[in-house]
Amino acid sequence: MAALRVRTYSARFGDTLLVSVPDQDADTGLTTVRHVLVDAGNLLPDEDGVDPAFHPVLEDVLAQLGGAPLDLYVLAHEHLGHVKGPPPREPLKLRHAWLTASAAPDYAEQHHESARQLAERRALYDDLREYCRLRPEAARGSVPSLLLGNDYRKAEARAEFLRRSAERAHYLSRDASLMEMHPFKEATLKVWAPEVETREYAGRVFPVALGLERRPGGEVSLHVPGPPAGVDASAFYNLLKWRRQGTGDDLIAIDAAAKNTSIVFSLEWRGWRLLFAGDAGARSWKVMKQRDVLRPVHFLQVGDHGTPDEAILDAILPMEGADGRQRYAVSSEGNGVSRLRSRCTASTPPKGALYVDLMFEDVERQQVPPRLRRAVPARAHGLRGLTRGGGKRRA
Amino acid sequence: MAVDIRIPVLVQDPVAASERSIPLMEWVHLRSEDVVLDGPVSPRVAVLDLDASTGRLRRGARFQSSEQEGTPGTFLLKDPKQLDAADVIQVSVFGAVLRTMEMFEEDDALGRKVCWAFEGSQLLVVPQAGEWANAFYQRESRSLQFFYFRHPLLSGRGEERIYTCHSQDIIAHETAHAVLDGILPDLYHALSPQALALHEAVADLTAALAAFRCRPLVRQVLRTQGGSIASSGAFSAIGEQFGQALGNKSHLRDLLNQKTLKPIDGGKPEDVVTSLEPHALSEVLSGTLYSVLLRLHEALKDEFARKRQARMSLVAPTETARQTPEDAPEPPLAHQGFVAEDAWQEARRRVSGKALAVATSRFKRSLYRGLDYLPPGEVSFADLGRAILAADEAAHPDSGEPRAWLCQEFVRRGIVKHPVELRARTNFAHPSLSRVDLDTLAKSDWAAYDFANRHRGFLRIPRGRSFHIAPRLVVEKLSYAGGEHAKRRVRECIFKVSWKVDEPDEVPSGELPDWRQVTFGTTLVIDCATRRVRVLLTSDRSETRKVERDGMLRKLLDEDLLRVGDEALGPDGKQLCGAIQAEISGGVLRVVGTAHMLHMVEERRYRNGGG
Repeated sequence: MAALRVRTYSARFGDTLLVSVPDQDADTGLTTVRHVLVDAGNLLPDEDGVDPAFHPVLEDVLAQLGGAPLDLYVLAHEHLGHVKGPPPREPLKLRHAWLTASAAPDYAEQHHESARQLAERRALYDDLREYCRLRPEAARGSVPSLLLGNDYRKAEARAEFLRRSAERAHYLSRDASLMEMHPFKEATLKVWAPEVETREYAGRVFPVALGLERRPGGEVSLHVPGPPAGVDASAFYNLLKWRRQGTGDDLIAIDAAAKNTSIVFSLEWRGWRLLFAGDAGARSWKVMKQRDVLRPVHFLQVGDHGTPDEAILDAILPMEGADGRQRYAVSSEGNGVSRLRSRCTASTPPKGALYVDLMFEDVERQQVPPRLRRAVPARAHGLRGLTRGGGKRRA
Repeated sequence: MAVDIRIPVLVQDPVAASERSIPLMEWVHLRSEDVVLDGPVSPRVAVLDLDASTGRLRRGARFQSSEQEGTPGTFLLKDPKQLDAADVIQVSVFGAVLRTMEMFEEDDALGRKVCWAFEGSQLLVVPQAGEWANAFYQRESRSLQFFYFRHPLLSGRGEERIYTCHSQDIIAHETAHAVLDGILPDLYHALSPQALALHEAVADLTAALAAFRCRPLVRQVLRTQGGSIASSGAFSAIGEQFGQALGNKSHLRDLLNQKTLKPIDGGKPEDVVTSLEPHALSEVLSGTLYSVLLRLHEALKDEFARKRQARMSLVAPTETARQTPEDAPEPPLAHQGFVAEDAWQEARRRVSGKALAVATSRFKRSLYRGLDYLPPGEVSFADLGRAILAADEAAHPDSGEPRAWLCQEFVRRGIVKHPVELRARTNFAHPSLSRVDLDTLAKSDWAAYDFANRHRGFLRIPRGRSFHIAPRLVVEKLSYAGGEHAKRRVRECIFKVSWKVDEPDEVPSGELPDWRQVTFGTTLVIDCATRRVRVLLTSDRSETRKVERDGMLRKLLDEDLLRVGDEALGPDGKQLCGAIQAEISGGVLRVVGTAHMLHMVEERRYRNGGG
């Protein structure tokens, strides 16, 4: 029996999923296993050019492809935890790459207000990073990882690498047509989010007075004034402290705005509906609800932001499924999956394991022999009864 | 000894002043501060002109103290007409804040210096706090912060900077939040939408009262509007420059409105406020109270057109004494019978200034005294109605007509179903006070707790519940009874006791505990001379208010504002500014700092591009 497989890697501080879909061409009757890589990244720094946590993941992905090109790479959003991807030296061929709409090179020309807000957030990010550099004690808790994950310059460089690597790069939003944007013949894909105008996702940003003084030549220093005559010194310094207090809010807002631009897409295959939500947060789910795109699914990939709220879950994973099929949720980090256990089978890669597999079997059709694309050695994690495929885009 | 200073304040805002052809500035005399220094800095207010982009503190305006006795001190300004100049901004903001504080402190209002809800004596004012289309009072930083934002010029060439500190009404509004926080500190943590909306409505009404004190504006409006304020937004429109710059309306809010809580005969559907958002909800209360002011103004014009004094049921003669000196001219239609409509309207126009001065004084007096009478903890619009009625009765025992109008308006707007709901027993003797030494009760916490514990039933403190007593206030206020020389000072002791109650939390979120903690309380006002109870007011504990709190909690959850425990902390482990903090202890939810919602503009507007 044919089966679709979702392999969720334990990438630590990032997400990587490899979806392998037996895809039948109705015209030829041939089935090809197509591979979709949903994000590939983590935040941990490389050691000597090799990421010790991420390297085995990439090794496995490449092994699963067996030298064939990757049919579709979905970069949910431009965060380093999603975009790190394979190092340039890896021999990964890429047919289609999906990037979020705001990553398009001409986005600023088409969407002035959203682009302006994006530029403001980036300027704010630069200020916050500079402030933490000058005042290291401010970079405590999870501030360093947030700064690292939102390093838009690094993320852009990686996205640019993807653009160059892919045969075709596409910039997606909810209203985009998917014609010619993926290789599937049988499986259908639908983009639920993001909206093309990313200002929909701009959160509360608090003006912060960091005391950064920029001198000609680019030198930046930190200035802390003293209280003037007649002013209570403790009240004065308390005020300065509160005027910087919004840095935490701002970092979260920058992070959430980027996450909320995640590409959220569904993949339907032989009665199964799988939803890949990237790191969509509350605001993204709210917009999806407003736009009436939410539908019940059999599989939900939970992102960094954790599970959506109950009202959203009622729409996508109602307590009782309508068709009696088993339902699943998976997260690479186990963020809040326990909340989903009353609704579905929730899983996360077991401790020490590289990945966890979920199989969605074709329960309706008779098995169709898969099309042989090339011979590859059998592996322990191979698909049952199928060889791996991919291949070049047809003319 | 107080320092006499002469200081410029903006009349309205640059746009409104230009539209109404009034001067941008007026110079006012202030005499409330003991010391004034460069900055300006006084013991109670300090302007700190921090540059948001560099962190530097701009040099404060220099104070020139009085050179000879009898002349006020002033500030040395390079060019007072240069509104963008740092020294002009610093001084005008300082003046506007002090002038607003003085309105509250006058003998006929609170009759005492305001005290802040935070530790320390200085309210810090940051006039150019950064780039944002907003302004706010923040208890934690003990400050008022006024932001600026860029706005495209009408010509389409370039942008201008809009300073919120250029708007007199915004300064008065934010100052009122700070003063009100000192008077009713529990409102900072209130969960009732009406309690938060009350904060907002009082701040807006204070902005209007500040505008009524701008003589050039009053003169101009009365001259151009035929002596009426009923069709002008000059006083009632809040944030005109701000609202226009944000694009949607010519102002942020308007007190001249017909907003109601329930549909009424002849009302428009869009005037029914169903939102729990405090800014939207506040318009019902501010509109209600403002309409009573308008009615009083119109009635006084009718009276003063023919008589030196209005009828006693309206205002006491002593209320009008300041506006009716011995050598004042005869009323326009004194000793005249029927006159033509034109002459009648002209006579009314001629007395409109006097009528406005009397009406706004009465309005301010009753509103601000009412705040003192409000019970601690959660309060409702009806609570404020009862408090204003009691305060107005205490200040004007023989002039009850405006009180009847207030009741009618509260019913008409759907705030209460029947006037009887606004009735509170006033001016009565109670055995609990017969043997109490009021001085000891005021000064000794032990005596106060003992008194409350012995009279739990009288003070409506639930049995077995621990309670908290606020420092007692003993204040002298002016009273305007009937009779020629009936203006006198009355001394009253304000005793406030509050307690916590666990109420069921019926918000279907699945994330919150089944119970939440709210604060209720009682205010007991005692006439020190007669030892009679002026009024005893206890928080509105009706089921409707409880359902509204459910709704507010749901709203906070929906908007991702409510953060429980560590979720309220940012990535650096510090409290998030944009979160309403909640704690869970013993299975009970406690929400704190809900007043963070009370920025000049509601957050949603900002998020949608307001900033």
